[in-house]
Amino acid sequence: MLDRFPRWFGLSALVLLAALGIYVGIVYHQADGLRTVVEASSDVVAASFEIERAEQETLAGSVVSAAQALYADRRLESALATIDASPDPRFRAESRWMRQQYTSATGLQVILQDRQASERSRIILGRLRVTLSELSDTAVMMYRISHDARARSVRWLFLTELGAIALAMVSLVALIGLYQRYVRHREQAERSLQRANESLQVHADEKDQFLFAASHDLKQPLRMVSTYLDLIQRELGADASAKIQHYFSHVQDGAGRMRRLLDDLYSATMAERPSDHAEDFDLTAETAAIGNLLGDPLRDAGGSLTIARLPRVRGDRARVAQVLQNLISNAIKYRDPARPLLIAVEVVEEPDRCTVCVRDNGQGIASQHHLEIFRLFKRLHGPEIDGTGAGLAICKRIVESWGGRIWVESTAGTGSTFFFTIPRA
Amino acid sequence: MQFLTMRRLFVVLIVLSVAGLGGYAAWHAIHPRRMALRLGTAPQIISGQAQIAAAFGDFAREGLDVTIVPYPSGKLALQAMLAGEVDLATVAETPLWRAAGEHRSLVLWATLAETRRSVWIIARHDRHVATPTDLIGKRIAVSFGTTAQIYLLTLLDLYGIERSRVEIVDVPPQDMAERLVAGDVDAGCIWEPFASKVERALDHPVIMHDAIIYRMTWNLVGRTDGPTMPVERVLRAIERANQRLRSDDPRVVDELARWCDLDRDVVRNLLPDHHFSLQLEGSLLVEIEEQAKLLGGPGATVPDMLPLIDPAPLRRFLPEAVSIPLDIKTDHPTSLPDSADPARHDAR
Repeated sequence: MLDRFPRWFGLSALVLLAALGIYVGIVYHQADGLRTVVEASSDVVAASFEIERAEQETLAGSVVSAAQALYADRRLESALATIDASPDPRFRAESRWMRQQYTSATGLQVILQDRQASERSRIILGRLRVTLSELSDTAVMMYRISHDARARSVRWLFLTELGAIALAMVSLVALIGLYQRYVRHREQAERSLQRANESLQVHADEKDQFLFAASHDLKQPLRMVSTYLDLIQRELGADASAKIQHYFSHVQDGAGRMRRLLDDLYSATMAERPSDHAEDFDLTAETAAIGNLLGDPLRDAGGSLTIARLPRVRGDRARVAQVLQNLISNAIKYRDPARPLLIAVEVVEEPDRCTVCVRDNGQGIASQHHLEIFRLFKRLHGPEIDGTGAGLAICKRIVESWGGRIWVESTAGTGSTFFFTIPRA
Repeated sequence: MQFLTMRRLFVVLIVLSVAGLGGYAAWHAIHPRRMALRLGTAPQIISGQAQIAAAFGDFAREGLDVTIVPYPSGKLALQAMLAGEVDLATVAETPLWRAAGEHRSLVLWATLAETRRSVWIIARHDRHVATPTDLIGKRIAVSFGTTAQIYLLTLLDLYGIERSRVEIVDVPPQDMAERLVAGDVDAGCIWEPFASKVERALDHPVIMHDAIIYRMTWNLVGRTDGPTMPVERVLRAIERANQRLRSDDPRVVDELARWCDLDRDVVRNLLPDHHFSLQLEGSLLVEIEEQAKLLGGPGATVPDMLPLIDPAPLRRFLPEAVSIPLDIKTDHPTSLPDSADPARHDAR
């Protein structure tokens, strides 16, 4: 199921999720920072209760109780330190002001501890009362600011979460919509492709039928032409002038070449058709048999064929043999007369297939011809080398009939290596 | 032909008239007529929010055309406001409560700022004053009815110096430097920017300051017997100015230095000890009560400030800033709510 999802879909979903995650993370981080300040300002307010108590004590005129109450709660200092670290400038401003008031109150408390000061405790208590009142007011204000900020933050957080969820849902719906659209388009494309393939197949079948019929049906009149040419030549015998005999030889050569072309055309047409004779066989033995078959021309060329240990493969034995025979024949045909011909058949094994290599030290092929040599009736040489230019095209069609691939690696003047893949047994 | 030309001319005139009227209406919709106000205050750092709001266009943004009228002290600004010279005043708490007993038409809307570093005692070095107890037997100048007097009396009481053992004389702030230079007085109790002027005028002056004994507040006041004021908009503008003052904007420091006629470094040094924040706190009432006791003794009559406080404009605008424990019901509105402000209607 997952492999049906396109790459962009997964990527978009990941990016979306990451963006949402980062967004929500930032929001929660900010909310957490605010929570710290809110907790600290709650401590301030708690401390302000003690401060108020101290204020009440000052009203009652009790210096000692006021001092004790003021010192009873040390949380104020730590709370102010936390608020100082707040990114919100309002908290910092209030904290700074509270610190000044607190310093003032503690300063007055120190004066109160002076024995002589007790004589003028009224004024000191009065100032202490004012300072404590300020401190208490500021604490309340800070609590209100933090409470307000927290309320706004919670609202914002709620709205953000709601927005994030809504955004995620909208994005998900959009992604699903896009995916459905993609699937619809892909199905349409697949159907179009299938129709095109079917149409192509029909055309290919028709083409094959045409080529088959042409190559087969043309052979019959050609054979008749050749037969009657032989009869005419035989009737004329020695009476035919040298010129007539020369003409006859040209006509017979042309007929022979046409026959070979029709044979190759027939072979190429048949090669495209999938074979229903697949079997497991030993590729080494098959290659050795072909080596024997081509023993005479190989010896005439003064060449040698080396066959590595090849695996068992699966395919149409006759077709595989035809591919090997064509490739080895080509190696003999296009040998370099300047050096002894060496042909080697090797293999690169893979888990489910193998790549067969036919290597020679012949004339080689320039890189610009590496593709076109596999085209039907494509020849790189003149009439000095016999052939129709169909051999490699037939090889290509045979190899592709089992889903394989054929290619060449070669440099002009250094030899060639032809590769083709075939399933392992 | 003649008839056609006249008709065309008539149509063109009509079109031009309609376009002109439309343009005029659109211009007034975009630029409403600003409400003109005069605000009296003393050029000090603590009172800088009004000047900053005026200089940086915060009043204009609220549709107000505020003219700042400077006075040597907040007390004089308050007196000018009571005399009808200005519409609003900003003033410290001491002149405010001193006037409250006599002028019941006073109304306090908000505390704009406060500081614990506002008043200094400056003495001539040849009078051998090094500590507060050295003030015994000395002639000390102070402006009566101001925060400086409260500061001085608190200091004397705190150090156990009976008032009979010093001679306190009433000297206006603008005359302080001259009287000290002349040697007519030994020391003076004065606030900025006059303190800096005295410091510059004297040769090696002795400066004393105790931050723990006194806090000065600066407040916005008006009158209930005058025209109703757009207080909420004034407060909005001042809150914006307060935010500027809390920032480290060097342009604000420059403007304050110019306004107070102080050195920029002096302003930069003093500014962090000022708390620019709109509020109405219970501690203001406690402070006034203590000041009244300080001036009149333990049995002194404390002016009833509650009926003079109108928290409504600030509460509408900045509810968390109002922590004063009262819920006053006034028979007469002292300020315009935003929705009832005619200028605001114009703006819409």
